[in-house]
Amino acid sequence: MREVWIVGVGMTPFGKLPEYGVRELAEEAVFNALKDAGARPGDIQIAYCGTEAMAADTPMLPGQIALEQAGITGIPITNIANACGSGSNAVREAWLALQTGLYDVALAVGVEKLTTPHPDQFHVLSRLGGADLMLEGSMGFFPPGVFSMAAIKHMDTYGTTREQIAQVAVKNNYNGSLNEKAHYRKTVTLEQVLNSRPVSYPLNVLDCCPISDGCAAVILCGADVAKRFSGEAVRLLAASHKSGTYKDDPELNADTTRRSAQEAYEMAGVGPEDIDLAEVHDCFTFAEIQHYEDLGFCKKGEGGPFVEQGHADIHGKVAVNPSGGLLAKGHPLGATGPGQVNEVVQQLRGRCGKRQVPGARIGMTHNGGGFRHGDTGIVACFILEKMA
Amino acid sequence: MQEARRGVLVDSKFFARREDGTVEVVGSRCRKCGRVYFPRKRACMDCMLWDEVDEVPLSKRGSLVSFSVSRDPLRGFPIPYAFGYVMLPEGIMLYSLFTDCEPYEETLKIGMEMEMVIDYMMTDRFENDIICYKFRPVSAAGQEKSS
Repeated sequence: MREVWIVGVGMTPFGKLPEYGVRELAEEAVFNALKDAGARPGDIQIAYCGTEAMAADTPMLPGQIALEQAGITGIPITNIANACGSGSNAVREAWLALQTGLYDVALAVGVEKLTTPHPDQFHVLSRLGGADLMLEGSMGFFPPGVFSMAAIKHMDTYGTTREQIAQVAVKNNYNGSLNEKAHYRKTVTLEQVLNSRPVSYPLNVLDCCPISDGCAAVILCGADVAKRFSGEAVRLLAASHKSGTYKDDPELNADTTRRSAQEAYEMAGVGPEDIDLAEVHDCFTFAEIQHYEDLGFCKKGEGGPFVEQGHADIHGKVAVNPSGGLLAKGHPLGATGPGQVNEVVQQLRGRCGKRQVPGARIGMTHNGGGFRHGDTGIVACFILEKMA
Repeated sequence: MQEARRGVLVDSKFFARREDGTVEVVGSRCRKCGRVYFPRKRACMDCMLWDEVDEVPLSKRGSLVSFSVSRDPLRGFPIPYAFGYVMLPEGIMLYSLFTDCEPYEETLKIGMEMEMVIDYMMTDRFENDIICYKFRPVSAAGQEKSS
């Protein structure tokens, strides 16, 4: 397998960004990534754009339109719409393109414009419902529901407490308060989470991530050509992508994250005990508790105590979502995965200031997308390593 | 068994309409291996057979897998509403709305026996009454319908 390095990352702030359209978002993130790599638009040989294309101004060819703004034209550009995992799929397809040997330098970009004050905003929000609108979405299913049901089942089976679930929001909002790119930059208390507006029992509004505007970009290349670039490189040890299996499992214990993590660990030759930090898909507080278990950071059923005892804090066993995660950093669907890669790269470079994970050498991303029948539509996991 | 209120079915693929005007939730069963699919399919992908399926009514009782209660006003549903999964004896985990069990948070318990009813779901923006299947605790049988 060809060794692949990440030589440049860049992103916009995540949040409500009324002054940005899709073009302006991509311009800023791609410019920052090129600058970071010491590259120019003409160095990019193939590009992938992860986006659900919710914006009114770019319903088709969002990648072609957005990248034209960033000076990247003519090369193969492919758009990927895989719900909230679209951007991680862009990173993985870029990695695959480098593995073929046909290309040496690839760009993965994720972009989303979700807060447009447009008459279609209701349509945008309703599209964020169940991915399978026929079966679930037509009967009142909505994203917090899948994790609420899983939370109730987990509380019933393992004795996980409401307070342990809420602690995820306290932790991630604290981390987000240290991140100048985050959508929310205020700490919250346990009481505030528990007393916030009910959304989907037992989860409240502070258990839910916001929908955000934003863009993040990643430049990857074969290690054999990396000397072309001046950006501080990080090794991409593993890139895994799996889809759901939608089993009729009354334990609500879908294995999509476990299968993807397993593949990533095997590819990287590391185990969960080697991971110093992980950016995981905390679209809802309870989701992060599930991910601790499925990524192997703790045993099944022990995710609640894991966060309660501080093991997921920046100074804990595994720093989980030091960026603030989806809960605080924000969730611009397609930009979320490349945004996670941005954070892990900058952590491994030691450039994260007050939220820096001390001594970080190996980092992981976990990005999910879409829901169907108690399962996640897609999961992508990456493992990255600091240069010795 | 249930009297369907006049209205539009939430999705005609889920139901079969009987001569007496009532509707039933149906799936498809492979004639060879007996696997039941919901929503119904024309193929059995295990046996690679096409149109070798029979329409079968789904079981009307099952056990509650898990649930939640939505207070999100965006879906056009009267809030709060309860929803979740019910495990049917034929191995199908069915997504459903729940009725006749308010206050939901106190009444609904994982593993409790539930039974299916055909019920009003919501009125859409074209003033259609939308009809769907729902489940309720078996212990609620015989009580007056709340909606």
